[in-house]
Amino acid sequence: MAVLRPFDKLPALNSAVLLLVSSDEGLQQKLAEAILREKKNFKINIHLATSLPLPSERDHLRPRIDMIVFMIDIKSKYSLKNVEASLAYVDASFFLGKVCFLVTGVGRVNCCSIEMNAIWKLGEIYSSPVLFCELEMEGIRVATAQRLLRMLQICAGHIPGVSALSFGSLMRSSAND
Amino acid sequence: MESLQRDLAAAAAEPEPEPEPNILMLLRLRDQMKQQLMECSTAVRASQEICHGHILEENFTMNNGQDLQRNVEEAKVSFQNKTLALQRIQLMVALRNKMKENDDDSRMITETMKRIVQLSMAVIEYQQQAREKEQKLLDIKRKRFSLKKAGEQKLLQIHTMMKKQKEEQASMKVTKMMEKIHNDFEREKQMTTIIQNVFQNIIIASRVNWAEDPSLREIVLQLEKNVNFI
Amino acid sequence: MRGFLDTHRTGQAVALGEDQRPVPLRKHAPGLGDFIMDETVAEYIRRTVLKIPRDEIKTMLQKWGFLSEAQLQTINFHQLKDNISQDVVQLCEENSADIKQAAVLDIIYNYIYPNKRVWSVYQMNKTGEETDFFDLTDFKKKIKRRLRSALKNVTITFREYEDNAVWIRIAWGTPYTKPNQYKTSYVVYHSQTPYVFISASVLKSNLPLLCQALVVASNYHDIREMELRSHSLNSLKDIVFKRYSQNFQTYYPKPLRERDVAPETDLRIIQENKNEKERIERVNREIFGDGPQPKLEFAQYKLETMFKSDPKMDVLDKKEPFRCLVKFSSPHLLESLKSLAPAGMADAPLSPLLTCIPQKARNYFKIREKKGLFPGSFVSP
Repeated sequence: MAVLRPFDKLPALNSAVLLLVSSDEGLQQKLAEAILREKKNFKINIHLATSLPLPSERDHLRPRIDMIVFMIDIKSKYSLKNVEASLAYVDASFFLGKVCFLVTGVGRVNCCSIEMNAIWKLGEIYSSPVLFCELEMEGIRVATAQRLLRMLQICAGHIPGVSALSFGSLMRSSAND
Repeated sequence: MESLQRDLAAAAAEPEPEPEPNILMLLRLRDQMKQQLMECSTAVRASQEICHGHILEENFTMNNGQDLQRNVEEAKVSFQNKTLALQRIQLMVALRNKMKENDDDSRMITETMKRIVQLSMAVIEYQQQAREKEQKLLDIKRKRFSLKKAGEQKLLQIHTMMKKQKEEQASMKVTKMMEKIHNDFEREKQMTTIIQNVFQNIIIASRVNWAEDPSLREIVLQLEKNVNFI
Repeated sequence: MRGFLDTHRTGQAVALGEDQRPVPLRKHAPGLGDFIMDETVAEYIRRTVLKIPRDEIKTMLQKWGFLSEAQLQTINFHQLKDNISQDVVQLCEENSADIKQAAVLDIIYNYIYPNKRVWSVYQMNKTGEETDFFDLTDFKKKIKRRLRSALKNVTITFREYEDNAVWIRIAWGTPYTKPNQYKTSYVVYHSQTPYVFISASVLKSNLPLLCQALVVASNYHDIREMELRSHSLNSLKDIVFKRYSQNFQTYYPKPLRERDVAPETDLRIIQENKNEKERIERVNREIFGDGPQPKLEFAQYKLETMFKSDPKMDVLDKKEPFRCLVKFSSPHLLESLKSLAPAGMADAPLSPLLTCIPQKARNYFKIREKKGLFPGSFVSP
């Protein structure tokens, strides 16, 4: 199955699955470890991929994916192209709050290769929140891991009363002004 | 219930979350499952509703949708404002309590506030300076522009003046030549007059009767002619 | 003056050194040019010693062999380098060093630290005769004769090393000035190969003369520049003598399962694209080989191709070649190219323009239009 759909499998009890899509594997690994180090009271599995579609031989082993985070490195046009190519393999119903764009490398202002307009447009077209971070700094990495963990909890349905869709629209309206 | 217990046992076997399943955890799990069920059923309902779409129904739903959206926006905005006001009140109360304690934290808070005030004043000052500099820059640019215009005008004036001068020079050359010719002519006239007088006096002084000889008479009469009136 | 000379010759005792040369004792009266070192030579030796890192000075002076062991023992190698250099100059003055010995010290320094200069590779060729026997003394004589006949003021020094390598140091002057010891060219010639490595000095005008001398002295017909330049002499030798690890098309068996379990960091992190990663590693290994890559700093591509744009945009009306220069620079270019695909910054396999650098033994390319479909061709000068 090439396209990822949000509700095609049943959720497991008290667990959440995060999918990180990024062309830079070192940073991806660091972020995954930072997320795992946070204190949480549910099981978490992080799947790392360089691009979509995911290889189909592991389809039957893969649990339901609760949130997808696309990592874009602002210093590399290649990562933006990679993410744009992968977005085609995500079902439209995923973009109701279960997708997030993470822009890394914003600490190095001199090396920006991607325009801000392109990123804002991406967020608007796919109506998903855009987070900015600099993963090379320990503090910001921990903060980003906490944010992503929070969002993952909401997307997995662990927080009663807050669904992924309402959270997504909340994030969107505050980003517009 | 059995499956739940099985899952809980499996969860208990994991080294990760809560080691023993207790009531709180069961309640939490129940809340989770309710939420997930609600999400799944919403998704199912959404996909079912799309199948029943007619054009009229679509319009109806769209209009309704817009109204609903507007209501949602208004509700969200008022909720946000109320939350902001509430948070502001909470913050003030917390601050007041904190300041009453007067320990390290509150000192840090006052220092931070003072620093914030300092920085904002500095920011305002720098912004003002920046604005003044911008104004000065604009003035200079304006002045430069007017100077450029004046320079252009002057250039134009110089150009026309030079053209006039050149024409004058050209005409002067002509007048000079005319003057030269005039002077030469005057000189010739004077010389001719002198020569005439000299010849006349020679003929008179020679006491020749010039009236008798027709050729001599012609010559003398010719000498009488005043060159100036030719 | 005459009387003074006489007293010196007869009056003062003169010691005899190891090789039976008269070694004068301490301070002499000025005027005896033979036994007093030229100031320029002293300054040159001092500056050369200052360039050497402090721990290496003793070994390098021993290799030089001009100062005896006893003299070396008198120098304290733990003081400031300034003072060490002064001591060395003093001892050289005692041994009356001249420019030839100073040049040998310079060659030794550049042999041990060749990476401070930029080397370019030249290839000589002859028209298909068998290789003549290489006579070193004949080679040296011919070079000296050729260079000295064109330019009187040159300092030429030779030194042989293992691997049939001949190092030549040339300090250039003009017909009116003495050779400038600080503007030197170095030539490394391996006698059994047609390759010459030249580190030209700033005075590039002497390069044709040098090339001519080399061609004549080594019995070749002509010489051409290979468009291969780098700071690291050993890497250039590796590329040209094909000593780096090449990419053989052998079959790399898939690693056994045991290898995978060990580096597994956390079971909760699951790699989805392991196959893809392995493919990238495999392709990379096929292209670059397993061993360390030769060290180059630049790759420069001069494009003289036509600008291909959307026909609607019509950027350039006249169809002229679009001149553009692309330069890649890095402290270690080939290693960084090798790590591009695994780091996720480029697709594997890389463009053949980049991967052919060690095979074609060049890093300055001119790309012109090919008359076929593929718009790119390498033209050697």
